[in-house]
Amino acid sequence: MGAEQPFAGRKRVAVEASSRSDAIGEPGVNQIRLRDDALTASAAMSPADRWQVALSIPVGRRTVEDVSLARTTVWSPGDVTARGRWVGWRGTGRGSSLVGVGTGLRLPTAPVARGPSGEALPMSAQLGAGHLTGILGVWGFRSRGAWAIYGSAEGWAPGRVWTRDGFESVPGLSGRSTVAAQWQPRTRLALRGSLEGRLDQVATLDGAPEPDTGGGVVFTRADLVVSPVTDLVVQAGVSVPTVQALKGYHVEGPSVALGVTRDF
Amino acid sequence: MTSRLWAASGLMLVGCAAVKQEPGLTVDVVLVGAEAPSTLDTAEVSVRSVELVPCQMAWSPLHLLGSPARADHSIESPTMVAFSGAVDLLAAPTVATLNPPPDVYCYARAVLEPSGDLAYTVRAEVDGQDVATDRVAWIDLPMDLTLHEDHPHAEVVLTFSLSQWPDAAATGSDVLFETARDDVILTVQ
Repeated sequence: MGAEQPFAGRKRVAVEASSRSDAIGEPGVNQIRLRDDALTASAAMSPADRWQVALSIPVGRRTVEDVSLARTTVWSPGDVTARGRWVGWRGTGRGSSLVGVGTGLRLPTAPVARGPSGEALPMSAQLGAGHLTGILGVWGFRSRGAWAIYGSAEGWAPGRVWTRDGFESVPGLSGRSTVAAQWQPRTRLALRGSLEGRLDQVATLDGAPEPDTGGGVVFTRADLVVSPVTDLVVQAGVSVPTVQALKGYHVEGPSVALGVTRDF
Repeated sequence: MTSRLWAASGLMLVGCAAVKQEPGLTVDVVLVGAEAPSTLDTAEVSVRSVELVPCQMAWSPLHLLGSPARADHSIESPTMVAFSGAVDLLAAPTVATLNPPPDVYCYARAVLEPSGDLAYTVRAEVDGQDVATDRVAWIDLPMDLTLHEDHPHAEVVLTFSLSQWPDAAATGSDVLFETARDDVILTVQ
């Protein structure tokens, strides 16, 4: 959800289950291995042909394991993300072409996970970012016949306004982009391939650069999209990091996702 | 497991976080004196660090090309604990806990050298006579320690035998140092 064409009155709800993993730190010394399993509910509506607003609410489980096999598992709601998309230009002629601007806010709604004595757990164990993040970018969509392509580029700018205890680390700016192509050979079946890139500025801790943060990564993703009945879409995808230029000791793992979207 | 999942789900619905913490592997490193003669009034040793050495790192032909990878004993790590100040071998055991990764460990490597503000490595007081030395030594003490999920805890005890310390101190600081360095027994519990 998020790449569809807006038109007045369109409403969508979606639920997606996803799982990802990564490892941060020097193996055998200070490495922590993270696994995130999340269930994200989303709703989107288009009040006009040129506008779409969307809200996504995740709940998840994060497991953090250090080199000594000490394990912390946190179940918690995540950060809510509100997004808006504006269609700036809509092409005419064969097929469909759209170009627009996207904006959003990720809100620090996730509660602070705390240990038995009330102390905030390390940031690596938190499901939320602990601060407000602004999102701004551009996107474009083109479809013709059985083919559709979608691209977007956006910047994420963290704010410190709502930073709370347990979140001493301050992340830097982040740039993210997606290029996706979809082939729909049948009415109820489509295959989608995409490249998803992320470029992060180094985070700081007490004003000093934080090790093992920042750098770039590109994921290659493949999705199978099936529509068993009208207005219902089931999507299953696998994402693999194909380019990892992350700083320090930081290795992203593969991720999987399974989602259902209903149109009204 | 199911009830825990339901409890976690309930907490999430009301906007709370549920946390479960499981301890990992731990090794208690114990420094203790034994067999102290009554004439020994003070027995102190400065153990700067104790490191658990995995068997695969115990020796490698690559070491002939240079120092072992972990030669800097100024930094604590999951396999190395640093001690500050003197360990009083006539007092209660000194204990420090490590959280090492799963592995098979073949040695405990103890570094004897003045740590912190200390000016000595080994010090003994016998019948009012104070003998001290600031010599430095690395001691590799063989052991057989396997740590994994099913064997998550162990105690590595370094026992300094003090029976010969008075005679060694009477001979001189070098002999005292060699006695302290050589009369160490390691046991794994």
